[in-house]
Amino acid sequence: MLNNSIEIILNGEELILLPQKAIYIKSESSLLLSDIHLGKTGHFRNAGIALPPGLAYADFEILDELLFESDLKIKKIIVLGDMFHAERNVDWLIFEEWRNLRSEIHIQLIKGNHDKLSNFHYESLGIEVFDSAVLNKFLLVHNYKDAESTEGLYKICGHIHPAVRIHGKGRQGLTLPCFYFGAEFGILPAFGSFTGKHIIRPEEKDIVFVIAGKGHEKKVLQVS
Amino acid sequence: MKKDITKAFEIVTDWFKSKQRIPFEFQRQVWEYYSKGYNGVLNAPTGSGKTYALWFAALIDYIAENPDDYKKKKVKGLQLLWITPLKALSKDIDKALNETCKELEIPWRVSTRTGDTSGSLKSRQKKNQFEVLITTPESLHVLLSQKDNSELFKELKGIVIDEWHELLGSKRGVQVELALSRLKRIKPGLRVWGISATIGNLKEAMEVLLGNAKQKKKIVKADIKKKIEIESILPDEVEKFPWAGYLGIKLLDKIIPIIRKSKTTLVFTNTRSQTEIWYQKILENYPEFAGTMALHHGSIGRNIRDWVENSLHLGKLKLVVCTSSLDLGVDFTPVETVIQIGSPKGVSRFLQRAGRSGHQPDAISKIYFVPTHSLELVEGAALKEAIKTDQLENRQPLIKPYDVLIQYLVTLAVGEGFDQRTAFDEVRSTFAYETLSENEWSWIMNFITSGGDSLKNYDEYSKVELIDGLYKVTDRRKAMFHKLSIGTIISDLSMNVKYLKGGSLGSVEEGFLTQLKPGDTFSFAGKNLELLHIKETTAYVKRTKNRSNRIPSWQGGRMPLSSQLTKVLRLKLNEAKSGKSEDIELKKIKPIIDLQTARSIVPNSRQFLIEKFESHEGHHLFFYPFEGRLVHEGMGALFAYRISRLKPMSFSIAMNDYGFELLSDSEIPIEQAIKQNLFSDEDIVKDILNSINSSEMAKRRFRQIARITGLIFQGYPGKYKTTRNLQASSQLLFDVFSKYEPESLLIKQSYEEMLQFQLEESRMRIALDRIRKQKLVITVPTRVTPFSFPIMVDRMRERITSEKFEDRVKKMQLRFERDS
Repeated sequence: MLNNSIEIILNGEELILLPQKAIYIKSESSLLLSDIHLGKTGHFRNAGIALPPGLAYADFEILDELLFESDLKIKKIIVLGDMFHAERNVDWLIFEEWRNLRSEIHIQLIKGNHDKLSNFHYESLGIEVFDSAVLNKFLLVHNYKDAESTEGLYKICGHIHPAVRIHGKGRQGLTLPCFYFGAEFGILPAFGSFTGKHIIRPEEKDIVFVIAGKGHEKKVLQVS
Repeated sequence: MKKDITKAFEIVTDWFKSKQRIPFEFQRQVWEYYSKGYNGVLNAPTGSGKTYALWFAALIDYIAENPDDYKKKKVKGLQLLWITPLKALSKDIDKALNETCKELEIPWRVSTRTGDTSGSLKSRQKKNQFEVLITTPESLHVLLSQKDNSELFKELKGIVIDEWHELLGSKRGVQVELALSRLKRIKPGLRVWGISATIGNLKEAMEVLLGNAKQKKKIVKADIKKKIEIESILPDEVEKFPWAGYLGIKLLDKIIPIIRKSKTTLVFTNTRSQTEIWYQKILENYPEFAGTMALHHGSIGRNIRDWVENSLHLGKLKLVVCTSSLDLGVDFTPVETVIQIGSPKGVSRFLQRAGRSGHQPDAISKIYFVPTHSLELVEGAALKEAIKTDQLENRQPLIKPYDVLIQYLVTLAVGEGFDQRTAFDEVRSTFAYETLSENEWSWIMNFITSGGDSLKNYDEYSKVELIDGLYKVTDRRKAMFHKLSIGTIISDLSMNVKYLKGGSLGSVEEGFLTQLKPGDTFSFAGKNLELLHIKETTAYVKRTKNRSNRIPSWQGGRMPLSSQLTKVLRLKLNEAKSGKSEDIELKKIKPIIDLQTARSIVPNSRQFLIEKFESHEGHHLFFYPFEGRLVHEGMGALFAYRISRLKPMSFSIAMNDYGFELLSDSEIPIEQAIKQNLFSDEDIVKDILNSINSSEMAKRRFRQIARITGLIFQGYPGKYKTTRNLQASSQLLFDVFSKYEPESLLIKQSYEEMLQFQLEESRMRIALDRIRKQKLVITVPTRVTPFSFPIMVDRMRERITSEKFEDRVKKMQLRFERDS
């Protein structure tokens, strides 16, 4: 699986950009991801919108795949916000089930604008909640606008669900989710299976990695 | 009481006499059949008295039932439903029906109910205080979503479906089929009559409307042949006329005298942006038309369109530039002349547009055809021939659109609820769902009751619930959401354009507006506008004196030439080749045909032409099936795929209505490909799905399906934010369904619609079959041919704005001419 990922060094830190739309921080044995939007499926289904029921399990299947990956030693998951999409609905119960099975993993949440549930709910599942956090030379926030730049720290965030549009021959074009690294901050793609994409227009000096392909052939590719 | 048909006929005939008229034969026939309990279809053109044929049929029936006290009789409740595809048409019908009721002293009250009807009127309608209701398919479904709606229909005697040919072949037509199946169950013996213009498959149109039950049925034809005069506008020198293009502005000077001579003229173009461009061009070159000229297309605000239509009606306008938005609609008596710019793409559409002129009885409909490039001259000749020989297009009925059925079942559940077994039988009695299987039915039931097979035992999904044997929607919020979502017409992803001071101009695609900055100017609805700011889904503008060449374009596939028209076109091309034709269009185009013959060949009906040559761009192959652009697009992709299996290579594909091009940077092994069954129809679907980005194409179809089935809620009118947290894009929905529920019937439907409508698969099979029987001729022209040129140009057209594009074509063509 790691064949399809890309290793980069950012602010002196070794990172692996994974096709599952997450980053592995080697020195911390930590998985960094953002915008899961758990509960969105349930929110829609409660309103009578018949999304595929299996969708509610999708994100946990991907998480498990990463946790069981022998090339990674994930001890901690850091979510850069928008972990739970909505009110506490049935999807929370699935989340609880999953959490009970994976209780050995340390989970930290940097709160995002969608995380409206009170901290109590997270804490009951052993999840630490922060508004922002400093991890080695990184400043972790949900939205890059949420914190001022600090000398020596590189901001990493989510929130935007970044994607770029790649033009092929003729009329063909593809919109692909991406990791974005600009001068000031980096943005993670949305991890969740039921999340939209927002098309960004990177500038020339920005570095962008897209996630292309389907299923297990997903690959991280540098495009600029 | 005994029925007194004779007396009823007398009363009605007397009324006609009082107007110095005698009923037409076809009107009498309809009255006869209706009174004998037949269902059927009346085939009659607009303005022929078709409304009276059905309207008096219903009145005669009523008078005959109550011969002595029909004037006094207190009728209670709805007697006749009149379904029309267009809200605008309902006004005129309402007026005509009301007038006759008054004159004949029949105590029927006529009312109209469409999406525009006010709430207070609707609640009076609920109390059933009307005998005649004029409505649209959508509004009829809204009625079915009301509690106790069967009460409303318990006295119903007849249903008329006006302009059935317009509804047939669309999801709205299927809505009509479903509603009829329900009403016939509520009220056995109900008479159902459609009114249809002439189409290729009239008999099938009747079968679709009436469904599968055994019944007495009849097609009544009004033998009224409207006289039509067709004239092509010819360029002076065909040698200087462009070989490619679609705007047609070149011949502007030639059509102005026609417009001047005629009282009112409609100029039909094929796209909304072409309408905008023509309007601007006329204004620029002939400013005297300012004030007496208007433009009309589907993205212009309703209020402005109403104004244009009303002014047309009153004869206040000299000229209206329009699109298909004026194909249908109320009669515009002052219109004397119609001008069609470029190919109308179909015989029926051309006829329909011609029929917008000469509305007085016995007046001649006059239509001019304006070609936009030289080969289109052949189309002019083909159109005349097709009309002379009555080769009209079929309207293909839809088979089993699951989305419409899902919406309908929820509608029933919101209304009175339904019994599963009865509903299944009802639905299967329609033409559209005759072949619906038990499996498909249970998938659909599962979809609306449990939202698919839930893996979770604590799932909270519920929409339709089983209560005392009936499937119902009990949640009021969900019921309201559903009522607001009834319908199959989806709006584009567009933004409203409004003046800051107030007043809406219409809507423009988001993609166009987001490219503009505040202060930028653009031209829309015939006005020069400056963008002030964008807020949510509205762009605020003000008028400006600065002219702008920036004109919005709207997506929407370019329509292909119909198979009827391409068939005649191939014949005419043959004639043009012979040089013996009397058609002025074919005589005019002779030099171009000669040039094509000199550089390659003009294929006859037994030949299939492939042109092959090399240029600095690479290796070109041109194929000429003359089968319309959609078939060509699919066939191009199919051939490219099959060739690339012989030798790995990539192609770019370009097409128009006449043929398509494969372009590659290396030599294309065409001879080998032909030997290895390039034209075979074996594995055709598999190869097509492999050859194109089929999921992207299916995704486009899924948008409407998701909307109709309620996966996407469009929201309350004017309320943008309240439902935003329940919005997911159709692309995202398509992706998650494809991945987590690939066996979903909605995904299946997307692919089927793609094959049927996007690629015209069945037409492609017929074309391949023809090609296999033809003799293959491969020519190697040393210069670009008149056939291939427009296709090459089409390839470049994508990213160039229309005007620059015309310039470039001119330059290219000059270069080619100098070469020769």
